[in-house]
Amino acid sequence: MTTTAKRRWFGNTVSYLLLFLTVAFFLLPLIWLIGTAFKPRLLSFSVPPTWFFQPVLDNFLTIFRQMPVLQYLRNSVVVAVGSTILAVVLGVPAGYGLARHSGRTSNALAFALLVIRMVPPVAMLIPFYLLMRDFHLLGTYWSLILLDAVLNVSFVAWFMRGYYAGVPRDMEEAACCDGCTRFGAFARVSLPLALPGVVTIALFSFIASWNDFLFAMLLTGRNTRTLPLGILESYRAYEVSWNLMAAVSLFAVVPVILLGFALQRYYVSGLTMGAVRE
Amino acid sequence: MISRSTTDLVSPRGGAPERRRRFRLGRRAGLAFWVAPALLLVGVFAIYPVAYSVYISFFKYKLTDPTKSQTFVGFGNYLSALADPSFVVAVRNSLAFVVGAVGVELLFGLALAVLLNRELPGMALVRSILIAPLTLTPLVVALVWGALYNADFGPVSYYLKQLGFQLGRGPVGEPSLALASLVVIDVWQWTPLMALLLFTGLRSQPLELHDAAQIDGASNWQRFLHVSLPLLRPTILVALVIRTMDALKLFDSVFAITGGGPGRATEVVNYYIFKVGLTYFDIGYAAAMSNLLLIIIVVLSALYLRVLRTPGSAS
Amino acid sequence: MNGIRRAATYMVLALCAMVLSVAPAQKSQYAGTNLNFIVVSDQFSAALEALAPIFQEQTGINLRVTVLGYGELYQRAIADFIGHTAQADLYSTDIVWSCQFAENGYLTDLASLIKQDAAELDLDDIPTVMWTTGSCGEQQIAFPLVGYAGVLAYNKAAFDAAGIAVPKTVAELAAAAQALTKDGKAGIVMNGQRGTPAAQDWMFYMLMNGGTILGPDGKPALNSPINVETLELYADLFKYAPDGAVSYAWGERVTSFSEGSSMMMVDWSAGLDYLREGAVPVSGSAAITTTPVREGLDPVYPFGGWGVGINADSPSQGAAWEFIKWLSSPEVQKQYVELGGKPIRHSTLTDPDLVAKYPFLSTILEVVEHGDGDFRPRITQYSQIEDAVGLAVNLVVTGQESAQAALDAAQATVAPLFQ
Repeated sequence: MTTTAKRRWFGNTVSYLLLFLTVAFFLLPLIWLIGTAFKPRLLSFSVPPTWFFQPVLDNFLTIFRQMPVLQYLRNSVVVAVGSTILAVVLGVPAGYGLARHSGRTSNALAFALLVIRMVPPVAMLIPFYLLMRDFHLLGTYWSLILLDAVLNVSFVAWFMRGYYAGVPRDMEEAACCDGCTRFGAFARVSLPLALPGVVTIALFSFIASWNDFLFAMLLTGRNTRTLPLGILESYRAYEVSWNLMAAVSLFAVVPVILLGFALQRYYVSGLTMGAVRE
Repeated sequence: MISRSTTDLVSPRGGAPERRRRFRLGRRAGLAFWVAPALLLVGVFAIYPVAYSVYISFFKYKLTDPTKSQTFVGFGNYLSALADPSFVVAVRNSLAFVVGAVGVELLFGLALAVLLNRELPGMALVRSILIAPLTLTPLVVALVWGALYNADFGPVSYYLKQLGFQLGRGPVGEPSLALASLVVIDVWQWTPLMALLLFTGLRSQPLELHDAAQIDGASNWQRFLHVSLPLLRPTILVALVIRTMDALKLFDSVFAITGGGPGRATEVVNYYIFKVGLTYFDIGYAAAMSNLLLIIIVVLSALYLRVLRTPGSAS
Repeated sequence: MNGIRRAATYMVLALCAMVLSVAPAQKSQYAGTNLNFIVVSDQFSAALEALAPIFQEQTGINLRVTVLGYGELYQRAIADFIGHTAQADLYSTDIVWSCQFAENGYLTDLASLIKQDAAELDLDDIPTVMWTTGSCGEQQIAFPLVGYAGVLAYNKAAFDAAGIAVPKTVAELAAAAQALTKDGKAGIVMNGQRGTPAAQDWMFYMLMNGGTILGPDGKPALNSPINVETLELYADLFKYAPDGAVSYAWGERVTSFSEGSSMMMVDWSAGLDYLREGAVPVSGSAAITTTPVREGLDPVYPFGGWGVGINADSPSQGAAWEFIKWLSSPEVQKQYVELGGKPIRHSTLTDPDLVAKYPFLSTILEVVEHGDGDFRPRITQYSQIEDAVGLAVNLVVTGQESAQAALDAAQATVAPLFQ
């Protein structure tokens, strides 16, 4: 073996070793979660920890008896999808406009939007609750969809502004010259061009909305409760049930992981494009 | 095509002059056309709560007070916060948390991004696996790690003890370890995002620059330090802003695992505001503190922009 | 003679059966009303969910039970009250919220309704301490829903093996904790986690040791000598507790006992899952008894629990009161207990069928007869007191401060609330 070959072989081995450790670090808690969901109650606190056992479905049967898990799942989907659609439909054009009409007003607006994203949520919650009361939207999907959308739309606009700054405008202008309206140019040229960015930011909005429990605690009604609230419910004060908590959690966790996998080829490129240009 | 500094955004290039003029016609109206719907939504549903929280921060107003009195106290709530040991400790802990968590995430993420960038077989699979943590519900992550950390039944504590570490009262029971243990949770969940961001940043770097450096005889390390890193600067900046913003708002793991303890070791701002605002319902005071937190976040973000955006970097 | 008595008994029973079988046909005057009942996630919430359709069947009132986590329930309830949104007609209310809710007028005062229906309610059958789940001065803003006894849970097998008696005094408790700490097992387990968990658990020991939160003047006396002593004792007990106990809340504490890792704990009679055959590893060797008392003191036992109150903004006051009366009737109480609820009536606590099935009811009865529902003061400032105590206790059990210093600081935090 030549020295370079030897060095490369050594480098690769070290790389794989490091990667193995990293992957183990990131995967083991997840494996524990999935395993615990299928663990019998009597094994869930065993010391040393049990990693191999006969999986059972008892935990799922118990939580299905205790709470309407599928309804929670449906509610989570409705809220997350609704708020994401709203945030993207309003936020992407806003980001586009802010990128194409640069100037003092535009910069100030972009900054204001970012500040909305920075506001600590607790202070907003009570006034928003009262506002929803006056709109008669309490306990409906809308209250949660609107609050999530408001916080996400600002982030979407800010992100897409950065994204569009990197998309050459010549193509749009060419389309304009061909006698197409401003919005037509956006819809036919700019939007498809920015697809990876849109997918990326939509996914992030979806995750933010899907994972929220602080807003949901106050704003949902009996029929609109979301999964994170079910997780809190499974964790009763007088007993710790890691196995039940894990079983409910899987319903909150698995759909988003799958979504993340399915969309990864978009957002691995979308991430930097939008992010780099703040 | 890596990045443009903001000056580029103010005077965009490209396009013939006359076309640009036409494009600029009615610029203000054009801007309104694009942003009005979003602003309407934000205006109707966010401005009122935000304005209300600014307004009420100047009043002593406790929702569960039978008299329901609102007493104007000027900056009284703000001054109380600065003199409140819990708030001061909470700010200090939050800043320590941000430095620890975001710092480790950046270094770990950078190392991981370089590894991923080596294009070895199997890397695509690793990238897919890395996506999982950042999609997880933070509440679930907190509950899982709380269980793993349990000093008597938790796997993490068990294996660390087997390896000979003296954990005493456990990772979240020892005052000296508790905040660091929460940092580990944050690192677990958010390093992958950092790594993916930086990895895509590295991937989009023009190869010519690297080739030129190689011809000049630069070592791998020198190339990384003098070529890759400066080019990554804008990516790093955005990653830091996003992570800092969120790390300052740490809530879930404190809520689910420590309750701010042991002692005040994990008392952080957002959790303290939650306690005052939604347990004591002392909303005037809670609003004042959250406005202070907002100021801290804005100042820190501005600071990043200033430090990391050097003129003419990486164009 | 015997035959006549038996015949009479049969006749009475037959009459009862007729009344009972007729009752479902007589729909309530509120039939068709919708009632929303928000209940905390606890052992008894499942029982309420199971009873809801039966109530609906019998009265024609639609009862919908929503189960929420503790923190969520409190936040939602307050938001509902201050916003006058009437999201729920009935709320389960923690005993310690009584006066805060009463002073704000969030819930309907039931005092006059109770007086009006006194005969039907058979008030003598409800032990006095039960009323603390919703009383404040003359007001009764919630009707007893579940009564919890603070009890000593212990691992009988471990005590037998070690040949020691179950502790009756605080000193014996400490000695037993020490004696049972061996072979990797902990003698006792407590809540150490900062906040409500540590505060509430420490208050058990405070009561056992003869201390109080409020002084005779009704103002806090957190740093009284007896409280300092109790906190020192409490911190001392952590030497015999599992390593992680300083970050334990109720759930972890119960788990440690249930897994057979800890031999004793003071616990609410809320779950008592460890007394159920085959439920957890310790099942079969676990038992409960009354909490130890400091030598020379009269027995006083910790009492807690939940009441059920009617939202003052609810448009369905009559139907809501009808539900409360229904739930607290002796027949339904028996069913309720069998479904996992905890009794509020003397007759239920002494019901022969139930006692045969759940022998621990006799311990609960004893606690109820000598129960103190005010060892955690049921006043408006309670949540802040609890938070200050929770911090102090946690600082001491993690060895960061002395009991005196920590309680002095806690006292300084809460004193301004009483000016």
